[in-house]
Amino acid sequence: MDLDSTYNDKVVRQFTIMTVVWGVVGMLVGLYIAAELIWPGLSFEQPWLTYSRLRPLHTNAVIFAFGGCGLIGTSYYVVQRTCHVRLAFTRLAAFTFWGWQLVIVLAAITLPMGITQSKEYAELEWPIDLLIAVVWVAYAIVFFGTIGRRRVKHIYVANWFYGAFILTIAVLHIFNNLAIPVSLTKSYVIYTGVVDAMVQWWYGHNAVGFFLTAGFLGMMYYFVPKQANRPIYSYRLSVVHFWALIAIYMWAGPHHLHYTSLPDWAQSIGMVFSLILLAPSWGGMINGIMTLSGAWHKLRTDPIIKFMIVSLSFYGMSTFEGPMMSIKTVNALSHYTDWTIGHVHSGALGWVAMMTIGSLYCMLPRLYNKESMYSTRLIDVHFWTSTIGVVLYAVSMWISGINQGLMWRALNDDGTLTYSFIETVKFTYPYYGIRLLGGLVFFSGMLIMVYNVYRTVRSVEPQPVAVIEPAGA
Amino acid sequence: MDINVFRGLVTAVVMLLFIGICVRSFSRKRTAEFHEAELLPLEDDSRPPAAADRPRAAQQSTRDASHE
Repeated sequence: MDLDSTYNDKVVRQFTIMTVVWGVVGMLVGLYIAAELIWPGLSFEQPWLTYSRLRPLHTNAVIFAFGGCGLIGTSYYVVQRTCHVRLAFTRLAAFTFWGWQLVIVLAAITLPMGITQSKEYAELEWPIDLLIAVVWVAYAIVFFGTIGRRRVKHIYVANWFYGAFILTIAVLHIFNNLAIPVSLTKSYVIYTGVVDAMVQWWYGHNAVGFFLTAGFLGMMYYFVPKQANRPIYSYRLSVVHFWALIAIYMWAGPHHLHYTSLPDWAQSIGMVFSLILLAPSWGGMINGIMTLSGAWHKLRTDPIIKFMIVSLSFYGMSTFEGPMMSIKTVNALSHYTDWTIGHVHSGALGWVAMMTIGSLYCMLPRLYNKESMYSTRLIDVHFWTSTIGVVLYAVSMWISGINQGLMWRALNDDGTLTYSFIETVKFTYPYYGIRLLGGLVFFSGMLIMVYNVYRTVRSVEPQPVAVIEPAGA
Repeated sequence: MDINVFRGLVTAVVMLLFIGICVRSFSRKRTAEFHEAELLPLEDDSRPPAAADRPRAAQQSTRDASHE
């Protein structure tokens, strides 16, 4: 068969399998550091096993390895299907896969060694940053090259979200990591003082807004209609909330710097834009959930739909919680407490991971010429472990975080602190246990997924799939 | 131009742009185009090669009619 008449699913399969693998690895590291917060002795006096070195490994692994592979893989799948054309530049696409895996392996080596720029979510040192930039530009060329070759007139909304994610991450990554190298493993970022902090959180919050939101909304806009077998609730809403979302997210970063030396007006701008963000965020949530309108019965029988709808519910909850936490007076209580950690995980596990898992269960059988996964029952078990895991995690961190905030600010009549710091640490102890339990439950679901995926793809020789003819051709 | 006049103008332009996007998206002229677009994810082309030879009409998914 002529190569151009089939989809390039090989690269999608590679990214898909690695999404599951890195998900397991990244979450396992998360479990380990959660256990270290309860039993600090678990670092065994080895520098590379300390919380401070493993925590960036955990965040990089789950965001950029698990989330990144999921996003790149699904975007390659979606752009081919919705553009009725084979993925552009087969070799370059293969390079993006191997290049991205190399980045992940280098991160897994350098971070435990303590080689870091000390910028949150941008810890990797300059040689790896350069490699990321090259891989990302290649990814953009493949993705937009495919859109350029499309054989349908309209660019489906999922591709708009994926496209915004790709472009913005390129800009964010390059500008946040501008640095002067002094050796192979050490560099100094060019920004100083409060400008450094502002650039960092302009990057950091848009990593949330574009990597963890726009990209996964792209996933949502293809796989929710696909799995529900119904068109998206409102295509018009999707266009309006796309432009609103990408225009507003850009300005929300300063809410990470409330009550710091960042000028007060900049903090207020960050807070106001964060509050406005509620509207486009909920536009996306409503659009996804209402796609099931008139077919709610599917929730009873299809665990993949359950994954997606609960994921959208967590998206709605965390995009409500986020704007609330960005209000300065609320932030005075919540900042630097475990509440933030709980918020991040209801977004990362609830929204990002559950949408990815649902989409993979939808896409994987199609990539291996199967009608469905090996076991639908096991998907249902996975769904319940994920849901219970996230709820345990988020609730324990709310209790721990809000109490931390209250105890830190409590004053005696004479103006001295009511509680010493160690008393707040002692208070959080049982909740760290519940958090670890929640993580374990969520992780056990990932192991079930590994088994289900293995049984699905085992001994299958995937056949190439023919590119669909455009309507009217 | 005074910087504050400029800021006001930018705000007005961005607001008009947003209203424009809304009007354009909700205009009746887009109905057909958007309907065509929203069906794109529903096409089922990823079938095993044996099944892919079936006529296109049979493969094309439409809105699920049950429980509506």
